[in-house]
Amino acid sequence: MAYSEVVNVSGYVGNFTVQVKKKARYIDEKECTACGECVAVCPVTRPDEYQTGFSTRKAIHIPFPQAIPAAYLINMDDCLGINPIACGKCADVCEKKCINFDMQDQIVELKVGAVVVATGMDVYDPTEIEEYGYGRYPNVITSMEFERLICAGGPTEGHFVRPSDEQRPTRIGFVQCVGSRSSKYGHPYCSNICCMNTVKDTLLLRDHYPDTQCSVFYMDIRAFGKSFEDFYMRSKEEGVRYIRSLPGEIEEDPETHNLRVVVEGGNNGSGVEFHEFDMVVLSTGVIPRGDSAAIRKLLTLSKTSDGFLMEAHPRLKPVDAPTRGVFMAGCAESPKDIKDSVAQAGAAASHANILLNAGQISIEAITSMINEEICNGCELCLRVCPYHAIQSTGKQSPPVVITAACAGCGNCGAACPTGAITMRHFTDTQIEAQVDAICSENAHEKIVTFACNWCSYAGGDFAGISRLQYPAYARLIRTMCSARVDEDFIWRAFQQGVAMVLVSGCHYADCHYIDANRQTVVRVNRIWDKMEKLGIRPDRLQLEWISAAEGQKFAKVMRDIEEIRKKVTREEIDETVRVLNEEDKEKQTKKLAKEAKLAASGAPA
Amino acid sequence: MTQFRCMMCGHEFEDSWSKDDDHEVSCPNCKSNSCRRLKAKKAAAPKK
Repeated sequence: MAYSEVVNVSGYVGNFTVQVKKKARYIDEKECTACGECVAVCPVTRPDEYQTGFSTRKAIHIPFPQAIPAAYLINMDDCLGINPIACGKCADVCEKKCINFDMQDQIVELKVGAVVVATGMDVYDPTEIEEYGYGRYPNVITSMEFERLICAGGPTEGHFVRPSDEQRPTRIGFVQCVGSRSSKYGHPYCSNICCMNTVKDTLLLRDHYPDTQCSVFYMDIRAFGKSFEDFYMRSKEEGVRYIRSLPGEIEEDPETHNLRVVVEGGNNGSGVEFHEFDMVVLSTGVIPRGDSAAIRKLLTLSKTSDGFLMEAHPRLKPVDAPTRGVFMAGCAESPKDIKDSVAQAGAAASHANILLNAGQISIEAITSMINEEICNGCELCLRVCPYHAIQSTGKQSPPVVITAACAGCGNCGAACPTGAITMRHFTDTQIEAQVDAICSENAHEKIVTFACNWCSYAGGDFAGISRLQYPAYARLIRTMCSARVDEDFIWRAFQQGVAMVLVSGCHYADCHYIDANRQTVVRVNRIWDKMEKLGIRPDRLQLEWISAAEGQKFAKVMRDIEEIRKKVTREEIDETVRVLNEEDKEKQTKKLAKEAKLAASGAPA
Repeated sequence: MTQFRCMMCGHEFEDSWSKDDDHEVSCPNCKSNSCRRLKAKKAAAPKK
């Protein structure tokens, strides 16, 4: 569906309901023959977004030449013709009468079993790098603008000219890594495609205009794909100069609009060099789409630290999203070239097909279940579930777990105030038994460590197989996610005289359950506050994000916690146990009093 | 900006934080993630 936008997605794997807003084109696309009569009479002219502003379009236009369907549309933000008295010229000249100003947006509802996200990327805007003068100097352009200028379908029909005087430039400089691999401007990651794009651009220029002198300023040329190194070598053989240094500044001659690039340590290896050019092309990086947050919200997806969508597993499930039934392809997942995008798109389509053809799915047995007799229908579980796998059945009645959508993080189990939710194979009873077992002997020496299955537990394992030394007082309890750690587990450990408790999980960007570990932070903060209120040192509870590769960090954290543990006295632990026992008694008394009051009033308990 | 106290080293620092902010807080002193969010003290009620 062209010229449409997804506005809502509900349901779960195999049963998604997608609402799509089909935007009004104000033109009957079946009748329109794209004759162009309407464009000729349209009086409204705007910069053409597709041609990066180098040419103009009309209010009635085709967004780009290869658009499907090949029918015009009217941008109502620009058009004067909503009131035909004001304009309506296009409607007058259209012989087939396919212009309809009364057309409305339509909401189309689709039932689908799987969703593939291939929403692409945006390009970094280098205006913020003042040293390069983009936006101030007309002859400093981006690689995307270069693409339009050299394209036969571009504003100059492929005649490469510079914007200031429309003369052909003969000396062109390319600056790599603009907005990429930088902690100061743009993003720290490599945008993957810019090096080979520049190599291609230089060859294209040499092919079109053999007398053009090209210079490329770079820090590394990353030509790691098949035949890419040959391509790079060909560019060098064609006479393109590669200078290993990034410019500190670009200056403009105000009369000629020629540019002077200032670099340090270029050809000579030291000192400052000046290079004169007619035009400079900034090889701008790739960034996540501006609307990626909305897409993540629609499909309950997660992002990595660079802002691109996170896959279910970086190596084993590179096209699967954490939400079952959702797949991803192309630059929505990470910056990649056409070949990789096509390969990933094929894989995503195949995975979706496998899922749909099977007609059923296998899920891990670690899902949540609700004890309807205990549940008070507060629906807190609905709010904390990162997958929307728990559905309401109405006020004050127990909600239902959609097992196919449940990923088994256990966040709901930890949040449930009545203990009505539990996780299969990670039940409260099982975890409490582990806490009890740890505390049964020399509890005052122990560090109870709750470690998430995917990262922290593996981090501890890595520390072990790397033979890293750390104090031997840690006792690990594995949970699928740190969000499974119920506040009661921590209190139970302290109540049994344990010296220290550590809750550890994945780093924010690596959380395997979208954003479940954010709830861990909320719970740990709540416990710190209560510890202080009860006169217990809050630093006896620690929280750390440790990845599977951070064996070193795991060992360091254990050593640091051991230093705190040494300072926790037996008297302090005894006092904690006494305070918590007293609080327990108070709770019991209040509960009994409440039950007695209810019984006296004749209300059901 | 929100006030934090590191539960590992005791260092107090400020960092940006909001409910919707997807931002991992760590102590600038010891890099620990045990960063307790300190609640802003309520202003004293005006005397009548």
